[in-house]
Amino acid sequence: MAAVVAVQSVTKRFPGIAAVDGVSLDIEDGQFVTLLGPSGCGKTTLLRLIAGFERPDEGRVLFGEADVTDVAPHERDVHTVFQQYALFPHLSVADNVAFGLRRGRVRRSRDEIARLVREALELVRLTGFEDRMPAQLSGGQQQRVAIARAVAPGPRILLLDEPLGALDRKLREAMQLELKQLQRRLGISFVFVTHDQDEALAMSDVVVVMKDGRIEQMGTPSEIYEHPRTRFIAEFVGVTNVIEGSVESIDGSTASVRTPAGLVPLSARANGGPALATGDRVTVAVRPEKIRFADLDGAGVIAGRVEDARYLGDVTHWRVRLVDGSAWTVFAQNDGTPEALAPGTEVGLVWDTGHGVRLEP
Amino acid sequence: MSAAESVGTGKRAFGAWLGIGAVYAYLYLPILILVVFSFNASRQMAVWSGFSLDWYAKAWQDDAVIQSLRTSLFVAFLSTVFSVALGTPAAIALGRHRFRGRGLVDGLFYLPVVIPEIVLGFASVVFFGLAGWKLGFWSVVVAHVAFSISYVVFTVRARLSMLDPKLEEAAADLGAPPIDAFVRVTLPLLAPGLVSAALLVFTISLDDYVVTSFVAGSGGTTLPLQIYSMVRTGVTPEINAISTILLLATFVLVLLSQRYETGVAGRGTSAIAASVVIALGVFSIGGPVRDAGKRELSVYIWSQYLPDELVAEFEARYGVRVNVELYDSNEAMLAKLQTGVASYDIVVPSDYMIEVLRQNDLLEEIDTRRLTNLDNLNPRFLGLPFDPENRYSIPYGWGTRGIGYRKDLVAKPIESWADLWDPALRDRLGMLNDARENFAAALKREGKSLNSTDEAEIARAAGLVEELKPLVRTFESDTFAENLLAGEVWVTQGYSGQIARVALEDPNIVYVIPKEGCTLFVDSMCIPKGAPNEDLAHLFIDFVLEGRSAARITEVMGFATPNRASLEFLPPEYRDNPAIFPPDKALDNCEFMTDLGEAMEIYDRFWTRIKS
Repeated sequence: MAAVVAVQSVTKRFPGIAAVDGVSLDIEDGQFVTLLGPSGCGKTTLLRLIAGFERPDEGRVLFGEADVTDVAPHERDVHTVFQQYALFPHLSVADNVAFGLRRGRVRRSRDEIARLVREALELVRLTGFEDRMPAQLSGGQQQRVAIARAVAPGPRILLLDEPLGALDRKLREAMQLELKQLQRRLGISFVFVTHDQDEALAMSDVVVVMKDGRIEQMGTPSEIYEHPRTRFIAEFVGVTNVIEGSVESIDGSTASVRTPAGLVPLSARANGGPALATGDRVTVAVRPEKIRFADLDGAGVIAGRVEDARYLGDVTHWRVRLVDGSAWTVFAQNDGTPEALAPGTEVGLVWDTGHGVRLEP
Repeated sequence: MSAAESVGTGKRAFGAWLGIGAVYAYLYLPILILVVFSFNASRQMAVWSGFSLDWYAKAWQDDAVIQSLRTSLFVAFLSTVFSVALGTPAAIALGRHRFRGRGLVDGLFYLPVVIPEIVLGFASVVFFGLAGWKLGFWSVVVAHVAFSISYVVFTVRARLSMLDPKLEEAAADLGAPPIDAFVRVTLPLLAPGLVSAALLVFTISLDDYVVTSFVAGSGGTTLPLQIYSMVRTGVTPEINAISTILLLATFVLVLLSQRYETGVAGRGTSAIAASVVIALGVFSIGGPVRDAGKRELSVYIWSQYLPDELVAEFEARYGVRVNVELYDSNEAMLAKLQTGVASYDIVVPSDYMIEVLRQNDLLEEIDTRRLTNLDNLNPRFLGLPFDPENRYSIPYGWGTRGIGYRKDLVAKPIESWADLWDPALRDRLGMLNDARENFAAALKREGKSLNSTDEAEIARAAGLVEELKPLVRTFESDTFAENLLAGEVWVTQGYSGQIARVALEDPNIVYVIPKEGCTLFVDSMCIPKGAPNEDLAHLFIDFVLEGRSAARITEVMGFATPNRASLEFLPPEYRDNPAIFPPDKALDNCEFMTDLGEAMEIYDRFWTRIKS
């Protein structure tokens, strides 16, 4: 099956910068795709290229089989939920939702429009708000109107430009869940832009991590989290600990890496990269929750000194200073095993061989 | 908070209020006084004698005022419509689109706001001249649109910048083509800005004087032009009343404009704005029906020189329409004629200006054989030095610029210019605000000609004027007679006509021609080059020469008429008034002012030094 949206080698330049630089991306029907990256990475520009607000300098944009590169936004079968909602302040909630229904290629009767408005508002649980003006709504309610307005005409793709950014944390988490459910119910593709990695991991089928106008890595949330390709991704998505060293010996599928803090194990085939050889320089990343405290004299243990602890109830975040001077983070479940380590205590850190990730240089 | 702190805060607040109060008093006190005195029963400026609405009634009944108000409103209405229609797309283009040279274009829109109005006005006249566009009503509209567009661009852009550009994208995103998105989203959201811009531009157009004075022609006399030309013949509380109305209208419109701009305007405000606009519209269009198809005679004349009933009589007798336009100085009239696009049939310049107009070839010869009433003129006023054969000018009215004084306040009657140099008059003397007239007083005192071009004589006169300066309370060419009436000054140099009029109100006021003589002036009717209705112009001159017409003119303007036949129609307080008709021998030493050419620079040089 062809992708609903295919971005093919698209480049968009603004004065002095290539906001999107040779990006190719296929979005499958019914997928929840998240464009994730720090501000300025090109994710919003990429979204605007799909919506048609920007025209690429190079490359093509396809909707299914149709090349829409030169098609104006109002003729594209996509709708957008804007960052600050962009509700029409002079129109009531119902008129906002009906705006797209009264336009476009499909002619709809007055009754049909009324029905679709009612359904869209039902979908976002705003029945009874038809006659309110946008200024009379809370932020969360405006958000729902914006979604209802965008989904009412039944687009094949919904574009969402950091739609949850303006909401407080609790509301945001509730909306994440709701959006995900909505997407399943509608069965259409969502392209969701965010700089919040938790949001991206929680909602997406596919996460596209972008940096400097390029796609850094693309994959399922767990692929991105468990097997980050680069140090940038490892550090941008979640928290990570990184140490460099050189391969000292290889024993079957496990390599021993000599680091300033001690010998650490590493899968010789980690991340599907080329096989390791003795003497190779490598960068190893380990997620904080994968690390356990251990006796100093065990195999594969590196030494450090406890600096401080953040007790968060369910977990404790430890900061440990390694002998080479780098600070590592360790997440420990508060599962009853007493781990009351005073600052200054010398500790050993250990992890399963498979949890060490070899990053691309 | 401790008690001491609270006292300190209270004092500071009091000080702040005092400061704000002082600034507002500084800003609005003069205006407040003007408004208060528009309700004054007395015509005297500085004396309150009871509440009255008479001046409003008088202004309401003054056809010239009402007609000019209509013109103003119509001009304002049209320039508002055009400037909003042109400025809005410009504002949107500048605010929403990036294009090469936008910064420059942007700057060019700001320029008209900071360019001196006088430059704009002059540039407009030159432009109309080159384009061969006759000055009139439409030239005023075009000029007003030109400077109004900038204000529209500012106001609309300010509103546009508050508008989230995402809204337009949202409309497009939902399937609205650009025009649909503009009409359904941008325009409704921009509307308060447009209304605000419209109100602002309407106000600016309504209030403009400088540019209008340059470009106004036949049919283009706006209220500010009317007021200004009325001031020349003396400030009456009628002007206060008109100014108060203009102020009120401006105030209301600006207030509405601000409410719209800040977005606090509700339905109430809209209702007020709509009813104001409708009322003004009905009023401006509802004037007397213009007699289409009738021939038109355009008269360009000083304010309060031509009574309305004479105009009506002339119109009825010859079945024509008379268009009366007003000017406030000979130089303004000259400038207008020099544009070559003004089309007047009659102008009424003063003596020296006739020479200037002739030198510039701006006058048509008058065919005196067509004037049946020429014999009514006193021969003394024919063949005057500025037009020895009366080929270009027929005298209209005349007067002198002598001395008015209050006999109840000065010790002994004033007879000579020398009497002004009296230390007892310290701060009680009024002089005209004019270099030539001040030097005339000094030169005449010395027995010299007031047209002297001798540098030594002028320097000596300058010394005398310098001596006089500490005594002078005001250098004032408009309100000298009112100042005398109010007792503000005890003695003043001034025009015979204005002083004669206040003397009729207060018998303590005396007008005298000093024994050394003073300036004598004659305003004459002329036909400008290229007058479209030269035959009507001759009929009009002949009409004015009728004794009855001349008598009515004298009563209105307060100056003497050169018309012998008018005397029998004049009431005795005019006919036998030596301030208006001085005895012949009092005029023996009087002189006409002549154009001094390059010698004028000497006067200007000394005058600048004296005034600084």
